[in-house]
This record gives sequence, structure tokens and C-alpha cells, in this order.
Amino acid sequence: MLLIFEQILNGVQYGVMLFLLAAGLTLIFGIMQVINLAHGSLYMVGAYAGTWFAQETGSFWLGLPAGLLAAALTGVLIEVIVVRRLYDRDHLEQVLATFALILIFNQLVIMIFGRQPFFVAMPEGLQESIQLLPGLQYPPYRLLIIAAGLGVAVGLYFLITKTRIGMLVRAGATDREMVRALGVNVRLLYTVIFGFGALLAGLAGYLAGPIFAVQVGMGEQILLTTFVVVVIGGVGSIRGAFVAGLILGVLDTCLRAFLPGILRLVMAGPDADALGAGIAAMGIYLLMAIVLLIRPQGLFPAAH
Amino acid sequence: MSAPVLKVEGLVKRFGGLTATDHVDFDLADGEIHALIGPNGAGKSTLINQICGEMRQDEGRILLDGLDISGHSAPQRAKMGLARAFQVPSLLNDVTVLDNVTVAVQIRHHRTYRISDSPRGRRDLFAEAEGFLAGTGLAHRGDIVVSDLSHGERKQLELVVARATKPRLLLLDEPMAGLGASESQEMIETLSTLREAHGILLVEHDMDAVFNLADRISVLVYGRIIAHGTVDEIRADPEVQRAYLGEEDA
Amino acid sequence: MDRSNALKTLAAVIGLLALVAVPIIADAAGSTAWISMATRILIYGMAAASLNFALGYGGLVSFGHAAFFGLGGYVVGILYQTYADETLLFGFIPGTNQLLVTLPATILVTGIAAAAIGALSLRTGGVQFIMITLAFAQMLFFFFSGLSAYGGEDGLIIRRTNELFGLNMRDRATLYWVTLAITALFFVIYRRLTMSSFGTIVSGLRQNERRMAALGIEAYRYRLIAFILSGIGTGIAGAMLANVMRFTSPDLLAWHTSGQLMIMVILGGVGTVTGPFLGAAVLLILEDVLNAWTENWPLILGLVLLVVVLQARGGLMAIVNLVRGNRS
Repeated sequence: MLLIFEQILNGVQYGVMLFLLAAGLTLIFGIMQVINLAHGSLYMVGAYAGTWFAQETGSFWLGLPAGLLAAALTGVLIEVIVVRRLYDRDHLEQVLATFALILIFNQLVIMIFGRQPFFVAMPEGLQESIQLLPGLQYPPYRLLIIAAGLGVAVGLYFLITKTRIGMLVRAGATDREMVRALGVNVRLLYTVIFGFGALLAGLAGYLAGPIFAVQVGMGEQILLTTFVVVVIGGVGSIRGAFVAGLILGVLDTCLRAFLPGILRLVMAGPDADALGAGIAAMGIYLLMAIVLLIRPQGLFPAAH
Repeated sequence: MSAPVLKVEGLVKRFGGLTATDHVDFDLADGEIHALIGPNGAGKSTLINQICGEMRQDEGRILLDGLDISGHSAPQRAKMGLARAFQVPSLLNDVTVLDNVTVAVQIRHHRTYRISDSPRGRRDLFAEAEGFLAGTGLAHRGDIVVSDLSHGERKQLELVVARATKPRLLLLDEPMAGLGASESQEMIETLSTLREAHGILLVEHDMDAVFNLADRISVLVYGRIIAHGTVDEIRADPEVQRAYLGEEDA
Repeated sequence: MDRSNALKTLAAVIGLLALVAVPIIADAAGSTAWISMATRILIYGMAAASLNFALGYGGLVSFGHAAFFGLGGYVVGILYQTYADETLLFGFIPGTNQLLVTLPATILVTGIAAAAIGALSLRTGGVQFIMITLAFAQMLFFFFSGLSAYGGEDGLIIRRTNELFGLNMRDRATLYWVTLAITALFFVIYRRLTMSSFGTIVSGLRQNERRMAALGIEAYRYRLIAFILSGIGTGIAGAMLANVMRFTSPDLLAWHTSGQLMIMVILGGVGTVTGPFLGAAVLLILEDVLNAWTENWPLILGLVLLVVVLQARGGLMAIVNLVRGNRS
């Protein structure tokens, strides 16, 4: 029972990380109609830049703003140089141009940091597991990630429903012309949104460092899962990204944790492990296919 | 009089609280041009979309040659002989004028699943398509890619493509819209020669054209048909004058 | 008109002769690696051309064609292993090492897979279509990664290339000529398909679905057939690749492979007949040359791709046509 509870907590932690990535991606999807495969690269940039700065200064907490800043700046840069030209193009060209960006960023990271993965220590003060329930020791760092994700979710909710920029974002998702008519600099608005999405991706990347290794290609693994989150949640919907992120985080984590064990009841150990891992990895895609077939626009379709 | 080609009975379409089509009845005989007029927002497009099958009605029936087609999809209705020329030209823009007509001819011959054609077979289709272009303003424009055509030429092509399906009924959604004076005149002449072969439902703003061409007119205001009749009857109808023609003159 | 047709025929004949002569020229130049490269170009060309039928003609942006490429490879691999182990697949299907059996088997398997994936995916459109095709390919990727009986993540080694008419298929030149013959047959069928009545309908649906509906065309079934044909073509290419590499692995099903095929299509020119083959040649040779030149070749490839997508609309075929147009 405790084991299940622990895995569910791990799933929630993975889920909020997916949400941090998906929030930016779904905004960019919903408002600019751009498929940005390079979103995973921004996650990687945040992780590398932050981790490098943390190692240079010896402080995890100093690495955080560095990672956020680097990811946001990179985001603004690619918006201005590349993505801006893709707004009026079809999806195929967007996919390929941002696919090219993945190649470029991966190679640049290899050239700067090498191929060796970085392993990052838990931040000072959060290394010791704490007792959540009798018999359940849990690393506080993971709780911190959950708190950060929930904090961002609440912040985004207020930003979008209560502020002028949020109003523009909501309007932009449904009616670009209206936003233009309000005399808003749409170009600048897009750059800001893109940079903000990049910042969230960088946050996710940096926080992921102590849990997964910081390595080249880290962005692509999680990117595909993030796309699944966005599509299941409904393209353009922050609320959908949050719900779908949590569902997928928990589902994926639990399948990986428990499926091989269940299969081992009926087949040989190594085969059960391999098959279990395979099916567990298929799980989220299967869920997406089912959701799309029942609700082609996702769980929370953004108003259009 | 022969049995009507098209018969619309008690058609209703509501959007929320708004009734866009309000118990509309009318019919259209073979060889007849029946004009549907009405001010902007009267619900003409909604009505056309229901007749074509792009939109499903809430109540009522649509009959084509006595057959209830209310439940049929747009492609099924097209196959049964209902052809439409769009108000805003909606064509295959990447290919030529002749290709656009050929597609219509090909579909009429049910040649849609053939994955390997003899060159001869394709040539026959093209030859037939050229026949539909002959005598129109596009006769020598067959090789032009549609995206290079003028608006007026596209409107003409809409009509040729619709004719190439050899329909029972032509649904023309504002064929004069956006045309210059001489282009309009040509279009009126073309349409008057077509009445022999097809029933035509003509939705049009251009009153000269309507009074020139129509055998009968129905006037649609706020989703309801407020008057039915011949050109002279409609001209004389006081309610029509108030609701519609008066506006136009003002 | 006649003169230009004669010129075209002449160009086609010269092109075919040049292709037939590749192994001889390569032998004379002492670089037998060219033969393998040319074989791979033909195979990837078939895969990209097949994708192009769905993507360029039909407007169906599939991000999951690697699924069919990989399935083709696994049909050959699994049938070979069943043959080598002298067992029965699912208890009743005997294995085989005959190309004349494995290719039809590939057509059957990839056709069924494309029908299933297409039937479900085509219920969506736009971004959702891209993502759901990707999702199905990922499912197959993870399925084969977990299939330890057939190599799992490590892939499946096929000890000997499939046999055909007693030809010496271990000889690289022979294998090239066999591939060339299959590619030539594929090309003739593919070219006719793009110009056929069916091809016209599919391309019409890409340009204007509403217009086609008004003419009596139900989009779904035509798109589904186009998707199936496209999947089968890609599957045949995958089966040939497995034969040539004597290996197949989940990598063939990975989303990078789907991306690679899309790059070939856009490099060569979306919706053109010969473009995908040109795109395949350019991408594979570029990768090879850059790889020999610098270990940072993905960076340069990425930049080239970026420039092509952003600047050269219409791909290489647009440039070829431009040159041709200027000459005449």
C-alpha cells in the first residue's frame, strides 16, 4: 500500500514536470498555431545552463535563475530568428524546421559540454529523506518539485484569468484580428509568450537535473510525452495540460513500476521485464489514441 | 406542370434562440429558374447549406425528384444530381482550369478509384471537359492555373464545373457577386441559355439579373418566406416593397 | 511537343543506363562503398516517395511512417528467424527466406497495419493527425523494443539475405540490381498512381475538401486508401532495407526515422514524382560526406535543413524545374 502511495507521489511529481513543459507548448500551439518540436531543447538548455552555473558557484539555488534565464533567452532568440517565420507556414514545415533546431541544439550542447551526462546532487538541505507517513521515507526534493509545479499552475491561473496579458492570451487564442484591433503589438506578444514558455521549460529541465541525468537527448524523450499531454488535454488549454499532465505522470509511473511485476506472475522474469517495460512505454500513446478517437479535440478543447 | 425537381417542406433550422430558417416551403420545376432573394442576414446561405447537405436541418424535409434526401450527406446529394456553385469561389487552386473541369467529369463517370489509367482514358476525359469550356469565356484559358485567374474568371469556372457534373439541379449562390458590369451581363446571358437543361435555384442580390432571369421568385426575410410569385407579382407586392425592395432603393 | 517528349524519353533511358552502370563504375573507381550507398538511396527513395503520396499529394502529414518502414523490416526478419529455427510462427505460419514470399507478406502486413492506423487516425485532422500517427508509430516502437524473442532493443540479425531465382544475393552488385529492378517497377506504378484518376481525387481533397464534397466525393474512404497504399510502399522499402542491411531493429520505427523520411520529401520537393528520390540521395550523401568531414555533422545538417525549409520552398525539384525552364 505504501509502495503504491509512493509511486503515485512519484507520478504526481513527474506529472507536474510534464505540466511545466506542456503549459508553454500548449500556449504556443494554441495561440501561434506552431508545432514546436524544439521545446525539448529549451528544457535541455535550462538543465545544462543551470547545472553548469550551479557547479561553478557551488550552489544549487544560484543555478536556478541561471537556468531560467538561459532557457528564456534561447527561447526569445529562436522565436525571433526562426519560429517567427513559421507562423504562416503549414504544419509540415514547422515540424521540419523545429526538427532541424533539435539537431542543432543537441550538437551545440555536445560541442560545449561533451557527451558525458552530468549527475547532479540534490540541493543542500534537501538531501535527507523525511518521513511522510509511518514507514514511508520520501525525498523532500521531489515534494519541492510538486510544490513548484502546483505554484506555477496557480500562478498561471491568476495570470490568465485576472490580468491584462492573460486577457490578450485568451483573446489571441480565439481571435488574432481582435487582438490586433486592440492596438496590441502582436509580434511582441508572441515573442513574450514564446519566451515565457521557454522559461517554464527551463524550470522543468533544471529541476529534473537531480532526478534524471542531464544529458544530450533528454529533451526529446520528454518532448514526445509532453506532446501527448498537450493533445490529450486539448491543444491550447492550460487546464487540460494540468489535468492530462497529472493523469499521464501517474499512469506512466505506475505502469513502469508495477507492470513487470504483474507480468512475472504469468511468464519468465527477463521476458516479463522486457515486455512490461515495452507495454508500459506504450501506455500513454495508447491512452492518447483512445482519447482522440472519443474526443478528437482532447479533454478540454480550447474555445475557437 | 411536371413534378418538381426540388421540393422543400417545412424546413427549420435554429441556432440557439435564433431561428435562421423558419418553416420554409418552396419547390422548383424542371427547366425553371427559381430566384431566392432577401436582405443580408435573411438566412439564404443557411438555407443553401441545408439543401446541399453541409448543414442538417432541425425539422422538415428536402426532396430531390420526389426522393427524400434530408438524411443524405453532401457528397451523396451531389451524386444524385445536385450541383453547387459557391458564392466565394471554392476551386482546386493548384491545378489548371481544365483539370478542375476534368475532375467533375471524371467523378460523373465514376472514375474515382482507378489507380492506373490508360493515357487514352485520360485524354477522353480531358476532351469531354474541353467541351464544357467551349463557348465560355474560359475557352482559351484551359491551361491557366486557377490561382492565376481573376475573380470573374473564377466565378465563371464555378459555373462550368457545376455544369460538368450534368446535374438535375444547379444551386447558384450569388453568381454575380463581385463581377463587373460587362461580366455580369455575360453571366446573365450564360444562365439564360442553361435553363433548358437544368432546374436552377438562383440566390442573388443583383435585382436586374433576378428580374431578367427568374420564372418565379421567393423572398426570404428573417428566415421566413414572406412572398412567392412571378416577377410581376413580387414587384407589386407591398410587403416585399416594405421589407426588402424599399431598403434597396433607399 | 514531340521533340520535348523524345528528349524526356532519352533522358530517362540515359538515367536508367547510368543507374544500371553504378556497380561497374564503382568497381572501376575502386569504391565499392558506392554500391551500398546507391542501394540505400533507392530504398529510402521508395520509402520517401510512398510517404510523399500521402503527404504531398494527399496532404496527410503523417509523422508515423517509420511504423511501416520498420514493420516491413520485421516481416523479413521474423520470417527469416522462423525459417532458420524451423518453427511455426503463431503455431501455423512457416518461415521463409524467399524474397518472392516475404515481399507479398510485407504488402499484406503493412497494408493491414496502415488500414488500422489510417482508419483511426483519419478521424482526426491537423495537429491531432500528426500526433496520433506519431503515437501509433511509438507504440510499435516500444512493442518491438520489448519483444525479446526477436532481439528486443538490440534488433534482429538476419544471417542471409532473402533468396531470389537462385541469384547470388551475397554479391553487393547483384543485390543492387535486384533493388534497382524493384525500384524501377515501384517507380512506374507510383508515377502512374500520381497521374491516375484516383491520384487526381486524392490531390483534389488536399486542395479543397469542400469542393470535392460538392462534387460527390466522401473524403474519408479515399484518404484511407491513399494512406494504405502509402504505408504499403514504405513497408516494401523497409523489407528491402532489412535484406540489404541483414539487420532490423526498433530504430527503424523510431520517430527520427519518420522525421528523416519527411526531410527527404521536403528536400526533394513536396508533391513531385522524382523529388523524393532526389531528396533521399541528397540527404544520405550529405550525411555521409559531412560525417567523414566532421563529427559535428548534425549541426551542419540541421542548418542546411533549416535554410531549405525557410528559404527554398518547393525543394530541390523547384530548382531543377527552374534550370529546366530557363533552358527551354
